Amino acid sequence: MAKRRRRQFAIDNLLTDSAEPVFVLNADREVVFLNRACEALTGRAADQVMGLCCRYHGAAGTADLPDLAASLAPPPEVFEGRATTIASLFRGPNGQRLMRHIQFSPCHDESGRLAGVIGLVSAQADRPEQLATPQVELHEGLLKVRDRLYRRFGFDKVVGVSESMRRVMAQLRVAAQSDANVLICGEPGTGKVLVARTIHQESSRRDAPFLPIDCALLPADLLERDLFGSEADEATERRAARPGLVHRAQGGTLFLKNLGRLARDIQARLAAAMQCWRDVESKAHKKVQIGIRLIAADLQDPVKALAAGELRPDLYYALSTMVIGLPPLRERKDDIALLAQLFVEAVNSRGEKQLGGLAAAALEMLMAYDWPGNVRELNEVIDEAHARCQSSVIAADDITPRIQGAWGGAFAAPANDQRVDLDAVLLEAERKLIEQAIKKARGNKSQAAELLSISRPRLYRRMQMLGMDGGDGEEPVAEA
Amino acid sequence: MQGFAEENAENWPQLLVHEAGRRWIEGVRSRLARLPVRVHHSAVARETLGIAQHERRCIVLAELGRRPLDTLDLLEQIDRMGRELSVIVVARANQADLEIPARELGAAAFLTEPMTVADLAGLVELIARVQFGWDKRTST
Repeated sequence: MAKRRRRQFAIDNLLTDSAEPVFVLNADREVVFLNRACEALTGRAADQVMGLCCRYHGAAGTADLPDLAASLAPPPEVFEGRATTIASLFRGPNGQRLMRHIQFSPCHDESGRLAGVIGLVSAQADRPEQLATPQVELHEGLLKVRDRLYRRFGFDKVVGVSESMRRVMAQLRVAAQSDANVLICGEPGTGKVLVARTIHQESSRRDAPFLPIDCALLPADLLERDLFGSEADEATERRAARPGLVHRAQGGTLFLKNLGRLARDIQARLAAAMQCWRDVESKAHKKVQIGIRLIAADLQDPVKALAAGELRPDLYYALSTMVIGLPPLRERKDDIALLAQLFVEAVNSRGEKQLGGLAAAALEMLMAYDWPGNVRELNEVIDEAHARCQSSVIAADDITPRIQGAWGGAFAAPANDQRVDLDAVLLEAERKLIEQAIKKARGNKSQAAELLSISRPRLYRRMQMLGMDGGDGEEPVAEA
Repeated sequence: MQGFAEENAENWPQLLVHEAGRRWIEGVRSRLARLPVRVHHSAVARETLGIAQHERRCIVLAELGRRPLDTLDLLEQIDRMGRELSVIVVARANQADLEIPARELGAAAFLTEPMTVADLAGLVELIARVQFGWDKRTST
């Protein structure tokens, strides 16, 4: 026993005083040892980093300089028992950028189970020719690509002046500050992905991965394999063991699109995993993020999905700590001018053509349209109009004929050899204007009449004459 | 698949294969020959982006290959378009650790070798059926 203690003491001293930076992680990826050379390299005392959980987020960190946990994180193959060397970026004691190679070696206990990982860091800065390995180039390149990706999201990218969007923005700030799971619902094209990415990006998990999964796209068995991993196919050796995304994204955010399409047995497995993470986190003495954060989105109201049996109650209650409903664009038309201008500027930034914005008539046309495809459709329409535009601002004629037709197909100029039935055209135009006014006034006929600058009885008479619904609901009185 | 014949082949959705090796392209093309889908091979990112931008119905199949960073960069640019299209990424066995970055950049599915052409073509077909609404269409 004494011999064993002496041996342990010698090993401890050897590691502590080694000129090579060395650290040890336990099987849960937590730092359990950091020698003096490693303290000097990182500028962090061992006491400060004990218990730090080092999770691997791919070959690169998400910021220009990753935090220490990301720098020390072993890649997944180490936990599959393979010694591996990777290039890793460190933030030095003075914030400087340091590139080192780390040799990771898995350690096993007497029963053969993984007990931890030893990381041996190259003491000297890697020479430039060593740095120019494909792996390091990939690492550095990925930093840039991810940086570009991350710049596209954030509070400043969720815009709107309408009351409904102001409410959404307030909810977003609360969601980003908390670590609660979030359920987002909204029609196609309302910006569910933007909102989910923004919550992640503005949250404390921003340095960990954000992984979008479309539950409607893959069959249940493939989706389950992606989420929870799979065993190696030993019979054919065609497939290696693969950890699931819920394990590899630990500390990050999993975004489930089209939640209502997730098979019920996968919903059950996910709900159970979330419960397990909550239990572990509540038992931990320190603030740790063991599990992943779930943000889910669906087209329909989750309460309806619950009532229809498409969503399991346990998953619904685990996810619905916060529910964000995104309004369709037709209910926030105050935002159209701002969004359209932003989309014009976005296209300007991509190409040679620089446009000032939209002419009043073009904007009026956009305001009159109902936007079933919501903000995405508006974006596409502006892209197309920008390409078509030959002057300095987008004119009504540059807008896609689909929108022009909806605005007032009756006003479209006839082809050269076509005859026009003027009466029919005028009646159709009148019908469209009345419909739009009633819609804008939310069905209130008095307000609609006011919008059209006519009296209410006259509105009823015109509706009756045009055979419109509601035109015979009230006996018109004599016009004043 | 009756009924598809009525549709002009020019309007068929497109499988856009970016940078993949010839054996993948030919294998997938042959497996999907019975389906109403055009298979187009592009080795240039600009061409791939141009097609992805303008094709209304499109699936992109991209191989990480020898220049994984170029492909990941392409994924970011496709994601930036905000189009509802699926990107399937094929990786070599030693590129498994790029799954997380690829997924972050919008890959809907990530396949690593070893795999067969049938595995790949099967996945493409499954995703195409959902994305292009074929199953729904054939059942009505």
